Amino acid sequence: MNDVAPGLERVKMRFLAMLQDREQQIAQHNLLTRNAKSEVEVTENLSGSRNILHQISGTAGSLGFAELGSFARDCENAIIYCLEQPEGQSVKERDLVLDAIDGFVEDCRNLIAAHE
Amino acid sequence: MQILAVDDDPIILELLKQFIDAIGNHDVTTAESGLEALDVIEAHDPDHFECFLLDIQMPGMDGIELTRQIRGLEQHADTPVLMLTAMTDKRYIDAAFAAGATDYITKPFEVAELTARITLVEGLVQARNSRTKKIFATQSMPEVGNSVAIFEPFSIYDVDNVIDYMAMENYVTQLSRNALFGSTTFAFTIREVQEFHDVMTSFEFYSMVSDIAEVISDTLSGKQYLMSYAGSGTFVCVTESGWRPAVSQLMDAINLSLATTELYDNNGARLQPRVSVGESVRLIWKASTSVLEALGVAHSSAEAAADAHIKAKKNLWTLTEGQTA
Repeated sequence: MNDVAPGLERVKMRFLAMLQDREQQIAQHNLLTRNAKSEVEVTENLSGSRNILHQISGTAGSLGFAELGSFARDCENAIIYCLEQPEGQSVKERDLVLDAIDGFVEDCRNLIAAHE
Repeated sequence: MQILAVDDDPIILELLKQFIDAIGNHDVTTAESGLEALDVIEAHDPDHFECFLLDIQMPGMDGIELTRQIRGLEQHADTPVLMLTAMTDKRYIDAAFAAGATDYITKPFEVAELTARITLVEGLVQARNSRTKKIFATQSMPEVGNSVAIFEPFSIYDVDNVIDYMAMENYVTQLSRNALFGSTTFAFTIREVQEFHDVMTSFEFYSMVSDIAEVISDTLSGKQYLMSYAGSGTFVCVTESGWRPAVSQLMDAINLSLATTELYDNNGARLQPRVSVGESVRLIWKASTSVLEALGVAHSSAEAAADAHIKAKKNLWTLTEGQTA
């Protein structure tokens, strides 16, 4: 088997570069969800965050960022749970999920800073 | 192997390239969507790709629909399709297997896991290609005998919910790995299958088994299950969503349908196969090795039921002859 390490390092760098863009998108979706005027807007923005978190959770672990990947998966599952609830669900419950996503965004920023 | 990897995440595609390069002896082509993948397949020779790695969840055409489209291409009816998924939702996994997936790999994956799966697939595909060639070689040469051993499983095409036996083994192994419960396994065995096998060509035998699979599939229509041909005239079924069939009634319904279905051999002689059903075995709380053993138990009990039926019939003849003598 060939050495996978040099190639993996390049992929890791690209992941971190993309992570910067992805965490900004998630932060934006989170803000729009908090300020949403309708359930449609909530669903659209939560779905947007879910899709990005899904991508992060699928790759972070393979690149040595298992903790971040696991956090992304937990946030993704929490959003899926929220989206499956009937309209008019507890706002407090949704706010807890949004708080967790804010925490995830912060972890992304810390990880990026640590690798600069 | 020539591998086509399809995922909307460029990082996954790069990872796959790096990992598969590390394995060596394989070339990876990539596509970022289902539609792009179909274009890539069309742009290459029909038998160019020997393995597909497909993400289940993609915007637009998802991996399940892409698998269906790939299976619809004659040259890829047997090509291994490994699904990449971060999902633990059984509905997606069931749908992927029903659409024709061979196995799935959970994201995030490690190079060792990917290597193991690809190496396994490569070996099994070579063995299966050899069997398929034997079956279809006799299609135009009916005088050639049955060159496929009776115990060998083979692929049955275009029958709803019938999947390859290798895919079935992967499916039940994954079921236990993900602690998904509520499934039951049971099996049907064609009675006197050895006699059919002895007098038929490989293609005749293959055709009869496929026809019986279709009858079983039609009888089970509307139920949630997967089935595969496990060799020795036996079909192994795994149910989903907690459905546990009344196997005896099911057997009667299948045999009634077989009785009204006109099946013929190459010489135009009417074939009248019937099946026996074995015990149903719940897969709840079993480890992966035990789940495979459960399939084995279902398989063996169906064969035993078929043997018992033949024996009972013979005993009845003996008794009748004794009374008339």
